[in-house]
Amino acid sequence: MEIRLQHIVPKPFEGMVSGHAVWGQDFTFHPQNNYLLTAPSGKGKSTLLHILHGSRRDFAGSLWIDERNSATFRPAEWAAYRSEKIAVVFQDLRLFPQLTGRENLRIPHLIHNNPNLEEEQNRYVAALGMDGHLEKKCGILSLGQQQRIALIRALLQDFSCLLMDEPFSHLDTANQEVASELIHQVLAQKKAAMIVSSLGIETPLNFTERITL
Amino acid sequence: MIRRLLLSRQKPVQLLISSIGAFMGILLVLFTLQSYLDFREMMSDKSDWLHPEYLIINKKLSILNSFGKAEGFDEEEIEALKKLSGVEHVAPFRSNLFRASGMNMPGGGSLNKELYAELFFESIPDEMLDQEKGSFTWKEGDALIPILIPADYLKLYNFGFAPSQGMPQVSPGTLSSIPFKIVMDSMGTPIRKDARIVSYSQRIQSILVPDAFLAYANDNYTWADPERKPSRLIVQVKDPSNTEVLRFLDEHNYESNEEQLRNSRLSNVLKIISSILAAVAGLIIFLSFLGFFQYTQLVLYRNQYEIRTLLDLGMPPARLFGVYLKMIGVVIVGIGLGSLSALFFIQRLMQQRLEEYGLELAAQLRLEVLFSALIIFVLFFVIQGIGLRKGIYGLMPKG
Repeated sequence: MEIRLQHIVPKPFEGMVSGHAVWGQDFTFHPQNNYLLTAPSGKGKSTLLHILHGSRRDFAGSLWIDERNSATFRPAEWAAYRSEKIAVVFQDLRLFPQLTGRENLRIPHLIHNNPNLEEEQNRYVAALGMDGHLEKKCGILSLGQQQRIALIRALLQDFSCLLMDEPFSHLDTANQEVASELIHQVLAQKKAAMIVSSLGIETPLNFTERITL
Repeated sequence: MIRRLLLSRQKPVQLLISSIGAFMGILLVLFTLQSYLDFREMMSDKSDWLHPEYLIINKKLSILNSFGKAEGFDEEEIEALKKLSGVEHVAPFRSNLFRASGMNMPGGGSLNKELYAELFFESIPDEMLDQEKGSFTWKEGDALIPILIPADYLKLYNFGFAPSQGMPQVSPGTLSSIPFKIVMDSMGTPIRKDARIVSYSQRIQSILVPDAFLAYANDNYTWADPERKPSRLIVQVKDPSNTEVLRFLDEHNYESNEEQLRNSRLSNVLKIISSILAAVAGLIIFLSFLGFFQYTQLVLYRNQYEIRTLLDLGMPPARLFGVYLKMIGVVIVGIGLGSLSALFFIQRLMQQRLEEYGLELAAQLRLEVLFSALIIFVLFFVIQGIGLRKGIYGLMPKG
């Protein structure tokens, strides 16, 4: 899937985009490439990921997804895009604290009505060492555990592009390495691209392109 | 699980309160409509055949005239009545000018005893009868004479005559199915005709036959003075409680059907009360709809994190809308069944209570009420659905 930003300027950045790598430019994210967005806080890393995900539309310019202007998407098409084309690990994780880890992971199954995800789920859970925590409510899990649940949830759905907003902010180095390995396995399996935001801290993930905002 | 998630931050008490509000609003509206229709039917005199704007007038009896010849109305008196403002039509009661008697036919229905009675008949012009006179018609050559009797006669029979004579009590329907013969004395020659009671009047204290029949019979079987003055008049007025008419009746020593006047006043009072009740019910249903609408919006507001997150994860908004719509649908069906059951119960209760006062009320709910209920529930559902859809789609990102 190719995502093109055509002169996009988010409303909060109007008048302050001179010399920016992405805002106001004609920029394309190519399929199967891995991008790292780095910038200090407040430069629009999360904003960019939200625009790519379609959860922010307060911008000037156009977002083209596979050569189609996203402004023409109907609500059902946005839903299909999010459930089939793009997966996301939000910075604030967006888990359901009242549900257990296992129930949170069932959400992609329910959206896709796909029972075959069970096997993949067990593999990801085991890889990230979350076996013993799935029956606990997410609200009482540590942030690191919650981050892993959010990562597994994103990996379980179909996607051509994986968006991750500071995905390892609560993981230690060992867990980051395990998670990175799993992410690359899944990316390879799905032949998908990855766009990751970071404050500049190095991660074990491999990138084909680094963009400083 | 999605349903549990989408309703996870709800307070059942609020749902209960909103549902009770909607239940009360709908119940009040339906009850008002049912009562209004029942009341209108009661006051429309369909069962009495006469509209409430008809007065029946006779001259008061006194010691001077009670043992003499019955005093009737002459032409001048009738003309004077016609000239009164508010009086639209005056017509005399026609009486039979021949001897008549009635007897039941052998084997006729549940009355296995032979009955015989001297009879009198009266008639009034057809236009003074209710338009829905049904089978109360007669034309020359018709074998059957339809008869309208006062409902009080039946009560008198059922509660006075029948128990004392060891005879069975009969319902209005049963009595109507019993054929009997009328024997008219045509100047010494008995003429027998079949007759049947076709309806009952609450207010006309007379045995009525179709005017056409009595005119024919008086012409053909007369033995009495054909010029006899009418003893009673039926007067069509715009408003039976019109003071000018009442003063005129009083000044001329005329009597009228007082009950009718009371009914007319009562009718006006009840009409005003019904209108006020309808307005209040309308306001209450509006407020209850509004209250329920706000409740559903509050449901969305409380769960907007869940809704937004599910939308972000790719859940189609139509599916979320479906979950809420189903929930509202179940609640509305519950409210609907509850309000209709309550209304049915109230109607039965009212029917039983009014029966004690001799007033007939249908035990079942009216079709108009059920149809209105359906419209209300559909409207309720559609309004809530529109609000829900707007609320859910409104949580999607905007440009």
